Formats: sequence, C-alpha cells, structure tokens
Amino acid sequence: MRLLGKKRLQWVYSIGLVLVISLFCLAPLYWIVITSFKTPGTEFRKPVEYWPSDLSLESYGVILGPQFRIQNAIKNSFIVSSAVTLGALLVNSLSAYTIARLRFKYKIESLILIQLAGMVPPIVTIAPTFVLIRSMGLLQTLWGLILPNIAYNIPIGTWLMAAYFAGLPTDLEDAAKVDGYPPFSTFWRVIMPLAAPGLFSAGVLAFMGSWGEFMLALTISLGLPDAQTVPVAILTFSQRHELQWAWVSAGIVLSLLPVIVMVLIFQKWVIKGLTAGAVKY
Amino acid sequence: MAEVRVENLVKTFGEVIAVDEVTLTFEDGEMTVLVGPSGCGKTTLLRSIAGLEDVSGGSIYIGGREINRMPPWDRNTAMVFQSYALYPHMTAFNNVAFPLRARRVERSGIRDRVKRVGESLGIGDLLHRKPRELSGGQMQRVALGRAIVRKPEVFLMDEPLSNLDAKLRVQMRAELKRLQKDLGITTVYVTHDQAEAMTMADKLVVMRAGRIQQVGGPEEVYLHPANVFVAGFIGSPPMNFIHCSYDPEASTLNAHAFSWPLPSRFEGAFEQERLDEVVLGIRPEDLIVNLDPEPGETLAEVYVTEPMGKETLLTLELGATMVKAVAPPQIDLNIGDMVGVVFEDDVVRLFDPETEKAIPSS
Repeated sequence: MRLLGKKRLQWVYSIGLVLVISLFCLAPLYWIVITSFKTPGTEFRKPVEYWPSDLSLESYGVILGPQFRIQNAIKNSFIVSSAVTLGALLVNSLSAYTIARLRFKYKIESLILIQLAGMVPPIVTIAPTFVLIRSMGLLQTLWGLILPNIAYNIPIGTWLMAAYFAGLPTDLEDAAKVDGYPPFSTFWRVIMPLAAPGLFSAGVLAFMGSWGEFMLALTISLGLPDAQTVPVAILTFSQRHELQWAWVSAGIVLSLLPVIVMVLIFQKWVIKGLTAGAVKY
Repeated sequence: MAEVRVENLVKTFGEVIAVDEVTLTFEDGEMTVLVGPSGCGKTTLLRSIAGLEDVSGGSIYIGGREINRMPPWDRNTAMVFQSYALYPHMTAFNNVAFPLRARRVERSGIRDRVKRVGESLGIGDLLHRKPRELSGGQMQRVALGRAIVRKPEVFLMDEPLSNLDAKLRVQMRAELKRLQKDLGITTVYVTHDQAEAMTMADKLVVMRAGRIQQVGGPEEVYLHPANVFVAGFIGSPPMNFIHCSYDPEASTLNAHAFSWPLPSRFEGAFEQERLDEVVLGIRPEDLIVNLDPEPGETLAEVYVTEPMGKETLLTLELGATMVKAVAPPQIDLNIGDMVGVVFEDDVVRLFDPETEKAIPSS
C-alpha cells in the first residue's frame, strides 16, 4: 500500500513537471497567437487580456497588404529553407557515410576539423562570408543565403547522419557489394532508403535552422525586400513605424504555419522500425 | 562454375593474424565446409574470397584467374549471410531481383527468373512481401534465392542456418545440400557446428587460430583425426582422451585405472620414436559398457546417466579421468554403480602429448 502511494506520488511529480515545462514553452506561443488577433494599439491594455475582447484580423491585413507583402518573404524563406535542406542532406549524408564506413588516413582528424568548424560562433564568420558572397556576385540573391546556410549545417548534420549510418548493419552493404553494386550505387540504393528516419531528423534540423536564421539573412539581403526572409521582414515592421506588436505577432504566426504544416505532412514518413527484420542476430 | 584456390593466404587485423598462410583448393562443383570454433579465421577466409576483406598476403584464384585486386562487385560470387541481410525496404521479389538489376538483365528476363527461383524454393506466393513480414525460414529462402538467381561461379555461405530453430535447421540442411548438388556450383560453407559440417561436406576443412588443422572427407576426418584438436572438435559427444604412460618392457599403455596392451599396428611408430607418454583417444560410441564386469576387467563408476531417447549417454569415472560412453536407451544404471569398460583395438587412436599429433599406425 505504501509502495503504491509512493508510485502515485512519483506519477504526480512527473506529470506536474511535464505540465510546468509545457506551460513554459507554450505560453509565449499562446501570447503571440492572441496578440496577433488584437487590434494594433491594444496589446498592452490593462488589465491584461488573456483572451482578446475584440478579435481582429487587421494585423494580418496589414502585413499581407501592399505595404509589407510578407507572403514574398515567406516564399523566399521557403525556397531558401527547402534548398538548404536538400543541399545539406546531400552533402552531409555523403560526408557522414565516408566517416562512418570508409577507412582512410586522417579520418579522425577530419572529423575533428568539421566539428571544430561547428564550434565557431556564426558572428565570427559573418564578415568573411559577406566578402565571399559579394565576390561571387550573390548579394541580395537567394543563392547568397542558400550556400552559406548549407555550410553552417554541415557540422551538426554530418555528426547526426554519421551516428545514424554507424548504427546500420554492415551486412546489407556487404550483400549489395557481392550482389554487384559498387559503393556509390550501394549508397543510393541500399543505404539512403534505410537512412530515411535519420535523414528526416537531419532535414528538419536543417530546415528549421535556415528558416529562423537572422544574422546572415539580414547581411546578405542588405535590408532590401528582394532576398528578404521572414525574420528580416518582421524586423522591418519595427523599423519603419513604431513597434507594432500585433503586426510582429501576426508575422510570426504566418511564418510558423508552413513549418507546422510540413511537420504534419512529413511525420508519417518517419516509419519506425524500417530496419526491423532486416538483420537478425 | 569454377575451382577456387587460395595460396599462402594471410589476413591480419592489426596485430591479430586471422588467417595464417592458408593454402587450399575448393574443387569445382563441390561443397567444402570450413569448420572451427569462433575466431578460427573461417569467416575471414570466406570474406576474403568474396572480396569483402583486403588480404594481407597470398593469392586467391577463381577458375584459374587471380582476383586479389578485383572488387567484390566484379567477382562472380554470391553470398548468403547468417543475418540473411535482406534489404528491408524491398519486397522479396526485389531482393531476389537485385543482383540481376546490377547486371542489367532486361525487365521480362528478371521477372521470369525471379519467379522460377521463387517457385523452386517454395516462396512463389510470398514474393510481394517485405522481409519483416516473413518468418526466419522464409527469409532464409529469399536470401538463397538472391544467391542462386544469377548463377554465380561460387557460392559463399556464412553460417546460413545458425539463426533457424533446431527443427528447421535440420530440414534446411538437407534442402541446401540437395540444392547444391542439383546446381553443381562450387560452394564454400562456413559453420561452427560440427554436426552441420559433417552432414553437408564433400570436403571438410577444420581450422583453428587461422591455420588449417585437417582437410579431408567427413568420414576420414572423423575416423582418422590428424590431431587432438580435430579429434575433440569433430564428433558429439567429443572423443574421450586418457593420458597413459607407455611401458616398453610389457608393451602396455598404463593409466591410473587400467593397463592395456599396445595395439600391434602402433608398434612400428613406437620403435621409431621413443615415447614415454601418450594420449589415448576413444570415441564414446566405441566404449562398450559391461553391466556385469568379468574378473580382471577395467572398472568404472557411473557418475551420471543422461537418457537421450534413442540412447543413453553415460559419464563414467575411469580412475582419474571422466569419460563418456553411449549405452542402449533403457539401461538400468544408477549413480555409483560399477561397470566394466571394454574397447576393441582398432578403434583406439593415439596422440603424442607434446605435438598433439596423431601417432601413425601401420
């Protein structure tokens, strides 16, 4: 009986902890969503309104209207993030496979070098990146954002994928080799399909990373609308006018929507236990 | 179809020598079984033939052609893995078709060949399934199908039956042997199971610590083991070993509990070489247990009896040595009973305790 009581107490503690953490994460999001539906100017009305007394779509009208056209920025973000995701997955899976499976000289050293690059804070590299992109004539273009973002993603992406590849059974690769496939074909036909869950996690990471990336986007776009992504566009709400929190919130909500939709669509692709039954030990 | 030959093959992993100067011919169309305890180098030897390991020295020939530097995808070998190694994202059909696609066989040809192989292995109606929807035995068949579908020069099988349950293993053992005979493809078969090795092999190769201990037909290896290791490894329960001293005056072998006249066929060997000590080896089925020992007969005490159904396995204390003997099924014996132990001269094997090699008989 006492044991049962102890267990129950543990359960209450865990649920309580989860609730507190969830509240901590979700409360700001909730605040942003309801603020976006408030009439501009009423955001800080006292007493605090946890549910707006008058729901208004005015902010959405403004930021989607001719003045800001945030849909352009969303489109840009989408193009950049998708391209970064594809590019990063390609580069990272190739480098990760090399590290996880092939034997070559200075393997550990090269892995350490990649990881060291990941420890350099982005602000240190922003100036040289700017110079590089300028010399390539890619300022104010989406390519100017895509290429550096892929590079930023390499350390974490490679590490993630290498860990995943290392966990795949080597028998499958050996079987493919004996079946007549050279390493590169083996990689495409056997390894990549099996790595789908790993690819998905790495892809989500790459997508989110470039979606929310601000510093490089601001630098490369030079503050002009052509190559603006959502975070930079939202910044302009506060520059041209006094800070309109309702607009900013509406911008954030709109920028979140595509990400949420994507996650909902792709989650079914993460098929658990895809490798189950492949190899029996 | 081709003969496979390895010459002075060496494979090292850092300091460890996995395969040590092995020279061996795998005859065309035969099933050669590599057998030995784990870590004896049998799998490494197999993988070297497949090209999955770079050899450290020596040569490998398939059909007279040296293939040391040929990558695995160009060697016309097919391999069956212990884990089956089926591609989990492909159906059974696509698994079997996979090696054909690498060889750019046309689509209709692939369909026909995969279907034919599927039918012949009894998995014709399972070809649309993914590996995870198949049982162990079915996966095994798909793996076999993938190996035979492209008619390789050499089959390489790495413990293909180890993951099956005991009953299915015995069934598949027979099927696999028949399949190999029908196809007549040179086969290298690796196992640590000596019973499987005996039943499958045209030629048996016993390995230990990277070296070949004995090569021969299963019967030959069983009846005339080359050394103590082979004698103890092949056969279940293993051969009994009894340390004896040799008395040249009386020409007898003396152990703690008995004295036995040296069989005449060994006399030549004992004249040539001065041997004070020998290891006497005798298989459990060759020990005759006498329930009513006659006077003067060697006596042993029953340590334990293990009824096996078709026979009873006895463990006996023969002086300081424990020996195993096989007795009829319903034998009435209890722990502590005294029995007589006899054996014929011609079943005795003698080994040199220093070199562990068999002492030749005339």
